[in-house]
Amino acid sequence: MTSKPIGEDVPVRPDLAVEDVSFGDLQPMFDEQSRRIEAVVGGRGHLPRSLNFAGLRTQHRRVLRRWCLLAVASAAVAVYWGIDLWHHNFDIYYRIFTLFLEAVFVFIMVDSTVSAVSIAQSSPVGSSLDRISHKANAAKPSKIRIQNSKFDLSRPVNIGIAASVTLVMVACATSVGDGYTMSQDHNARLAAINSVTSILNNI
Amino acid sequence: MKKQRIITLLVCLLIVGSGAGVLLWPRTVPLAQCSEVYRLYVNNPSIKASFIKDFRINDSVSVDVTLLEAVDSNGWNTLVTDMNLGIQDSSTRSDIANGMDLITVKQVKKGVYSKPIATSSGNVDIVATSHLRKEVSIFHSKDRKEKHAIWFYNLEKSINQ
Repeated sequence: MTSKPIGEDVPVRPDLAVEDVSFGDLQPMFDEQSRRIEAVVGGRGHLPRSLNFAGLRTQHRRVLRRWCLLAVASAAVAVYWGIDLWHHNFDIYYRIFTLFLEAVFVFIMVDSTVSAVSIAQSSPVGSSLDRISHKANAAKPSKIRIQNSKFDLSRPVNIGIAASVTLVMVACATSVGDGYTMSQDHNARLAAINSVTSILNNI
Repeated sequence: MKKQRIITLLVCLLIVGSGAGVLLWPRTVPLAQCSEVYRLYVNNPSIKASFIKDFRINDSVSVDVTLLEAVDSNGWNTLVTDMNLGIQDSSTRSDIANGMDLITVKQVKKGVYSKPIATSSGNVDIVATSHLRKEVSIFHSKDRKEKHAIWFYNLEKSINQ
């Protein structure tokens, strides 16, 4: 038995039996990991959703499908209210109420349209509805940016657009004047109102 | 991608169309909501018929009004016959012919415009006629409050002034 001073390299030769036992224990683990990697590369595996880029297109399609459903629903509601107004009630408060409800749909439509435009532009997507219901599914920015464009559409902007549309609708519905006539002709309406007022002044 | 753009365009058009419809729709009273007398004369070429929904009498009262204007003598004769608006007094007729207006007012049962009635009910029509301008205004009162507001329109106006 020879001895060497401290600091010099000492060649170590592992016992062959010990080596076989160590790698033999690890081999199943390596095989399992290899199998998982092959499954993932072959498209059969499940990565965490945040890394599942293949699923992004599917999510776009889902958003688009919901957007189309909202469009159809909004159109159906508009038709229903039209029929309802035609047959039943023409009261001003009823009209304002229906306009308010319509404004809610306008908001949804605007919001969804922004989402759809973003999809069409292949940008990070997400209407506010989408962000509410799919927060966990995808990492989305708080603002929707359309690439190569000056648009900067965020949820407050959507609400602002919907609110503006609502205000315009309510303003147009309430500021007609003394009455609603059978005619769209503003001059005819004014002439009729003046005639009636003139007669009323002489009763 | 092209398909998505087309869908986007279509839905944008739908939104704009719906908005335009909503903006225009409330201004027009549907024919079914117009008065019976308006529907009776609306297709008569000799009479110009107008219907005003919620014509404001004062701050708290609004009534529906039908205005009938005779375009020619045939139209006026039709109105005079149907609503019994003839004037028997010859001097009054000559005054009107000389450019002096005469406003006659009568209260009638709804749908029956030839015969005036005396009732305390508010659910009546008030027919006011300008003989010089050949115009007939029919105020469709639904209750006593509306009827009172029409009859005393000038009085209330002068009091408020």
